[in-house]
Amino acid sequence: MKKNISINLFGTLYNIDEDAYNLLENYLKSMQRYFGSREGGEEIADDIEHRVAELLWKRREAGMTAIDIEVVKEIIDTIGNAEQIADDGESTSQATGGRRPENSFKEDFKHFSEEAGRFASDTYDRGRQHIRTHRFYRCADDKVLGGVCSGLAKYFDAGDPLIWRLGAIALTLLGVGLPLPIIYIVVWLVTPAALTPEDRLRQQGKEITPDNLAQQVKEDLEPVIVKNENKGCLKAILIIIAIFCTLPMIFLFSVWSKMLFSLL
Amino acid sequence: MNTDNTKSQMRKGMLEYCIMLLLRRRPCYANDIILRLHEAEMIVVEGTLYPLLSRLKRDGLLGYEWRESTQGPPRKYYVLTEEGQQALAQLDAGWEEIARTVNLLKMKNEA
Repeated sequence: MKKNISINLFGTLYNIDEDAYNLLENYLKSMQRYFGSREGGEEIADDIEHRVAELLWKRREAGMTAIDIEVVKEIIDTIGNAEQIADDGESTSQATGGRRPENSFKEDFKHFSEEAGRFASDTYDRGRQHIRTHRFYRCADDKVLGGVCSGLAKYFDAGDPLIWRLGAIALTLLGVGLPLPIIYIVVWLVTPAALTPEDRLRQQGKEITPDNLAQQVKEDLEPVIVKNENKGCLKAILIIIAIFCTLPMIFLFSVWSKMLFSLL
Repeated sequence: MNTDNTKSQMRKGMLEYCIMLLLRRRPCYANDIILRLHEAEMIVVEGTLYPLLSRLKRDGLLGYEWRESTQGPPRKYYVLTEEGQQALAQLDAGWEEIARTVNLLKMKNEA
């Protein structure tokens, strides 16, 4: 038995299963997010919503009584996800270059014992596999400043973002990572945030299939709100610490630049 | 060599021209355009059409009007503007040229 919702699409009422509704809503929202920032983008998202309504209408005429998740998956397949649609010229060619010749790598390790060599090359292969499947994104929904630390935690599949944050701050304070705040800002500016469920799948190195997407949509809907509420106070503290870390940096920089100028 | 990629690039390049061709004689709504493009195997996913229509509209080549429908949601009918007709004429000439060039090269090779 499944919970059933009724929705109104441009004046027509439909019965839709709850999971199908979540998938559909997320699909339309991801269109809005993806195209919303472009010129005329809201219209594109609206056109696509109309198209969804049309395809549902046709199915209803053909005898469909309620929309289940399979129907929504079919429709998403026909219309395509935001990235397939947006493909205007800049084809996202998967980088195949940069493959390190395996021979030279293995030769490097000839001197080590067999076991150590195998261990290392395993790690290397796994690393390469990781780089191929995972993509680095900032986390838009779990962030203190730019979501870089939580992005790193997600990317490396390692630990709570909090540990990364505290680690970064500790390194900066200890003086080892003095350039960290600058690097942080650069990474913040250069890398995209994970906005769509597709992004989040790539972040975790999962394949983009309708099934994985549906799963991701479910996950996106549940835990985030709870997490954010609990961590609100902690965030405030971290921000204050971060400010305290960057202030001395700015001070140091002004001193450095003055020194440089006096030298010149 | 992966010919699929080249073929899809060719189709992609032709897509705008084909959409405008479909609109030359009469206004169409998205469903008409999608059906025809599918027949001609010009598009893989339907959604590709929308950003293109949006761009053509912004460039002033297309306009549209809403029409109520008894068969589902209201429909947006796209029309070629005066400017669009002129652009289409230019594209016609461009296509003729490309087709001629390709044919010429083919014949020369065979000869």
